[in-house]
Amino acid sequence: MTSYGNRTIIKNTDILIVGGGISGLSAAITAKQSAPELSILVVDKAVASKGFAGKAGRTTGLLSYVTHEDDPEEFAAHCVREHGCYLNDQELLLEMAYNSRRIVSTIAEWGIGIQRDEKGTVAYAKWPTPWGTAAIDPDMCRTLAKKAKELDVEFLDHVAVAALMRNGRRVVGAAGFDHRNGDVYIFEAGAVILAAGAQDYLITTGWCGTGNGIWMAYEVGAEMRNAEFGNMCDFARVAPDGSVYYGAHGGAHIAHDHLHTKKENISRKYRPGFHSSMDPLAAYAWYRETLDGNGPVFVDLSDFAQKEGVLFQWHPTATARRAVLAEKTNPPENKRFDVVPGFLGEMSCVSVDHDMATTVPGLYCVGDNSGSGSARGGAVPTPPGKIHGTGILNAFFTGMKGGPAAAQYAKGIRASGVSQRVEQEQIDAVFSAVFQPMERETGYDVKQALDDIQDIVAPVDYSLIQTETRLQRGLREAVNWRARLGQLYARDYHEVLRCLDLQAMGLCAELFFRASLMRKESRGFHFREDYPETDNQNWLKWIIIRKNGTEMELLTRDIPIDRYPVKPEGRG
Amino acid sequence: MTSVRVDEQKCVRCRTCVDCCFICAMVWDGQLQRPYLKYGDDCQICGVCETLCPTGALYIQPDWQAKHQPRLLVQGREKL
Ligand SMILES: Cc1cc2nc3c(=O)[nH]c(=O)nc-3n(C[C@H](O)[C@H](O)[C@H](O)COP(=O)(O)OP(=O)(O)OC[C@H]3O[C@@H](n4cnc5c(N)ncnc54)[C@H](O)[C@@H]3O)c2cc1C
Ligand code: SF4
Ligand code: SF4
Repeated sequence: MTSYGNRTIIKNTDILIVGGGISGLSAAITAKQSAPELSILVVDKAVASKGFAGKAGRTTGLLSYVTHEDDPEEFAAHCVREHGCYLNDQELLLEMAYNSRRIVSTIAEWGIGIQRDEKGTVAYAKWPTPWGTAAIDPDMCRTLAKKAKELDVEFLDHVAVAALMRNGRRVVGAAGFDHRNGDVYIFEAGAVILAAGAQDYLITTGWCGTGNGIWMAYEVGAEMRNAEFGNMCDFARVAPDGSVYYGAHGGAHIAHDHLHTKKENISRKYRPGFHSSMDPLAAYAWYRETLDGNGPVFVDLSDFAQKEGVLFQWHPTATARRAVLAEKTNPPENKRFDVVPGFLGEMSCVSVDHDMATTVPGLYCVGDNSGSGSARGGAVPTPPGKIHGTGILNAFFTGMKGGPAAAQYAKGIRASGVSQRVEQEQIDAVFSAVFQPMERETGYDVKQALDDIQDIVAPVDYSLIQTETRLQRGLREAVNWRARLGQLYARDYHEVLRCLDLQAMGLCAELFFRASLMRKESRGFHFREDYPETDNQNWLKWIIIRKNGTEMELLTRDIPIDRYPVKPEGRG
Repeated sequence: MTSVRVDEQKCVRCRTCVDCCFICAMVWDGQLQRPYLKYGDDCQICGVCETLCPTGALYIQPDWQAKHQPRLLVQGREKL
């Protein structure tokens, strides 16, 4: 065996779950409930066993769902027309709409805190649209982890999964390492569920998805879908000293409807009416006015005194977290502050069917890892993708679907007695690649590489407001940057983990630019200055990408619009 | 770089701050028996470690200036 890492530990399990955030933990619980005889192992690079891994604890704890006042079919129709722009898998969307109230009551039964009114019913803020938004405990994963342990789900913390292992086309396990001490792990599994989150390129604080699950799925040949809807955007606040505060905390999350130049309210000019969240048009307003010399663009806090919009409630845990953050982010005292587009990301393009199965046997994918790949949301990045509070709903919904489906598959594998042995050759190849950066004493610095990829993907005219020329340039830069990754060097195992993240970032950037170049129209979060119209004649299609040898193969697949209840005008 | 201040008198060595760091920036120093922010560049300034510390022993000191701001927010100025 080639020398790498420290000790080698082999683990055998019926279901391996990579990532223990909301989606991974709800998959673990429901898989175990549906098949108690199966062994289930949740592996996370952070501490999932105590419910600390993933994004949940950092959220504002908004949970949107179809309330008893709302009609699930209206909700789905609204999502198709206004957000997904007809690229939705309408069957999956309807299923989530019909199940969302059941999901809320199930997670309440599991013990997760959701704010209630004095009568004990779930309290929610009502939108003028067919959904409501409740306040959930951001520490929900602590409750989920406890529940999972009661059901005998096993956990392995601080272990990063680096690659999936195959036997023929079938996924039969994975390989990973403990990023504190370099111990290596080989997992032999009946089924694998990827629940490793989205790709955010670590730009906005708190948005810490690094796309490892996308990378792993792509490498074993799983199809990607909707990669062009990979970049969500927000506004970031520019402080008088020039610091830029990204993200909901200290950023300008609500800015999209309240943008001004010296001359006018440009939100009203570019995007009149009510909006539940950000979209490229809000970014375009900033971009156009800035290029036309009308900047800086600012937000006027006195707008909010008018009490327009929807008033959310907050869970006390969320309120306490916000208070700590407020102290750290120097909130502006004056009424006006300048803003710039703040990149979020949320690429989540692993394609899955209604069982959350990928196109590779034995491999399932849930939560933010397959948010846009599931096509439920349509032409948006993974949720929130235009509805605040559907990230959490989607993570529960897909986790609860993928868990039992993977359990069914794993039962079959167990009954058939086929081998889940992982070949030594595959293991050696994975680990020699993973640990190579530690063998170099010098080369491409991890921090520098991160700064460089952020520079390629983040600028708003590359990530959101696009043209052929800029996309070509973005693609060239991403491909050249990827070529430099062979020179990465890592000082310790923690930096080896960062190298994995960087590999995944390079892949995602390339997937994004290639898919965006192919889609010659504008739709949802895909906004092209050179093709500003939506083209329902030619582009009611999903763009699929898969690995073909060493090449990226792109193809399109027609949306089965004739089968779906909601159709664009002129399509019957 | 973003850093952490730990009040050694108050710290009860429960390691919650290390366990709850979702990006693994906070590490336990076995010799000094205290947490330290080994990978300050990675810290997401989410403040969760500070809110979960049972004794209020911990304070995250953010360094916003040190955070990389992606190059030129608008870079493609060519005409259509
Ligand atoms: C600041 C912020 C505020 C938000 N607010 C809201 C809100 O109010 N309402 C809402 O609905 N949504 C919100 N969201 C979105 C929501 O948090 C996510 O949609 C949801 O938590 C996704 O859950 P997940 O389980 O799919 O992924 P994640 O929570 O991202 O979990 C992925 C897990 O995989 C692990 N992992 C990744 N790679 C590897 C690897 N190679 N090996 C092992 N483990 C790995 C990670 O450590 C992580 O624990 C917010 C997000 C952020 C960042
Ligand atoms: S603030 Fe957040 S990211 Fe930083 S050390 Fe604490 S838990 Fe980790
Ligand atoms: S959480 Fe607080 S008390 Fe516990 S180890 Fe960290 S600093 Fe010490």
